[in-house]
Amino acid sequence: MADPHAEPAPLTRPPRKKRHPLSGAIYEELPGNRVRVIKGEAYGIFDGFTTRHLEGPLTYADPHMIIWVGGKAVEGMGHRAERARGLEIVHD
Amino acid sequence: MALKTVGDQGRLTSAGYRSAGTLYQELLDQDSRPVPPVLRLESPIEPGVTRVPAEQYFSKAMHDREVEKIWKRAWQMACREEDIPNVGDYIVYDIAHLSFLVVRSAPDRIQAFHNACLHRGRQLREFDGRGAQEFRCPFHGWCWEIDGSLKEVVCQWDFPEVNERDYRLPEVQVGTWGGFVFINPDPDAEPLEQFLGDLPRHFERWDLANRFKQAHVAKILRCNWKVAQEAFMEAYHVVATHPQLLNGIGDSNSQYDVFGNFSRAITPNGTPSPHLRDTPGQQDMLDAMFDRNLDTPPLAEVPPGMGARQFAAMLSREGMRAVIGDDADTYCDAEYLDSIYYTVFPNFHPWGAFNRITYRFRPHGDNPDECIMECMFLAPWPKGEPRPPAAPIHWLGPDDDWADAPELGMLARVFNQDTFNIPKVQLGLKTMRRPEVVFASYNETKIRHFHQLYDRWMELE
Ligand code: FES
Ligand SMILES: [Fe+2]
Repeated sequence: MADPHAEPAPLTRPPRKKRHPLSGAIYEELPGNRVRVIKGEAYGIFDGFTTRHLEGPLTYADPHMIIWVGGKAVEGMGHRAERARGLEIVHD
Repeated sequence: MALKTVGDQGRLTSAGYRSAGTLYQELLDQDSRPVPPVLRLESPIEPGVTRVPAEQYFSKAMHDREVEKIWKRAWQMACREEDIPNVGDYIVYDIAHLSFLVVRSAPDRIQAFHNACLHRGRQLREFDGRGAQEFRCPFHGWCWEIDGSLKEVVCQWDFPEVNERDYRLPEVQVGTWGGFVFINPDPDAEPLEQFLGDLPRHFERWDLANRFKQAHVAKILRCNWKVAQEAFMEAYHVVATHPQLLNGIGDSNSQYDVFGNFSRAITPNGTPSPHLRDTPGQQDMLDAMFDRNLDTPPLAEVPPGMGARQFAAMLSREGMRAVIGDDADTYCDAEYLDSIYYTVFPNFHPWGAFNRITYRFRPHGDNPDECIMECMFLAPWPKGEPRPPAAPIHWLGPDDDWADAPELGMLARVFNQDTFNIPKVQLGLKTMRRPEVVFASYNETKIRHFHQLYDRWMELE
């Protein structure tokens, strides 16, 4: 069985990181499917899939921003040439 | 006391209250190319909010009534013509507990039958198939030609009254439009052309018959089919559900129109949300469209003197040139950039221009708490080359992640945001103190229009 205290495997790509366009909080992907949110002086760490609070004084953050910055990656995405050609503009 | 309004403060126009942001028609004035009349059309719904009893989304009695009043009577998209390209190819189309067999019975003929044997009722087929020469029932072996005529009855001598005339497979009406096959179980239903009204005219420039099905993903969701489709019929949810898009999307200033049995929304991209306090720069808008992360270089840089909207349209146009050649020049910026999403009653959602999406939402069997959401990508292919084969359905279960369908690209993660809400909506609907939901006068136009038609079809008025 996997050791629950083992360090999670590091990310193999640059972490996803966003500034929330409304609140200004910074959302950053961490290894082990977690997301760190920094808002003013406070921080919180959340599960990147369920959005459940894991640690830190900030106990609630925008769940949709958490799953955008966390959440499963789409294989083969980030193919820059394809996206820059405009074929992968992110629509709603 | 008036409630505090967050973000977009709105304004009163000659047509009623609208967003305080740039209105869609004003945005079209800035297009670098002539804008087609279809995008200039405006047909707003009459103002007013719509309230809907919550139980419409979970009651089994409502579901049963939908089967009788809608699914047995309405035109519904069953598949693409390209799903059954050759004679004998067929699909099984299930809706609630009803099942139909849709088959290409001749090169230019598609027929649909109730998917049940006339002997003791066994479903004739459970799965899609290719090149059938007959439909033989797996139970006792009765057999029909693919055009529905009775071919063989095992021990015919034991059924003196079973004859070819009375024992043809009962047929349902079939119609086609835009490369889609529609069926209607009601023999007295109006023809499809009449039901669709002006829809074909709207799609004249965006001929969906000349697209191929590049991807097709179906996922079971734990919510009513109306809860799911209503999450894809407005841009009002973008501010809360897709905040990462706000710098580059016109959400509350989308345009909404209604036309007979269909409605339309247009959500512009490459323009900022009116909810934002400060107007983002042109590069910020482009970065939002390309989902740029902090501390990473931009995917593309807006050239000086150009706006993000025009630049992104140019990138799309040049990308499309590789496929459709110089026809790419005949489309305006809006056609390359904007989300132009139609809804045809009851559950069919084709998108206009070059956004490849078509959605369908339907109940999952007879469980009003579950549905099937499907997303197809319909894409053009290079002129002079044969049509690429249609993608088969990629099924995802209720607990699968949309990212398990990488063929959806970035949209998979956008869907994860949408479908993160909807099982919680299904639960919340059952615990509401005042058991009704309320839809916005303008931003939820399409849903209001759906419910007007729904009430009429369901005879609830
Ligand atoms: S704000 Fe729309 S469901 Fe809560
Ligand atoms: Fe959405």
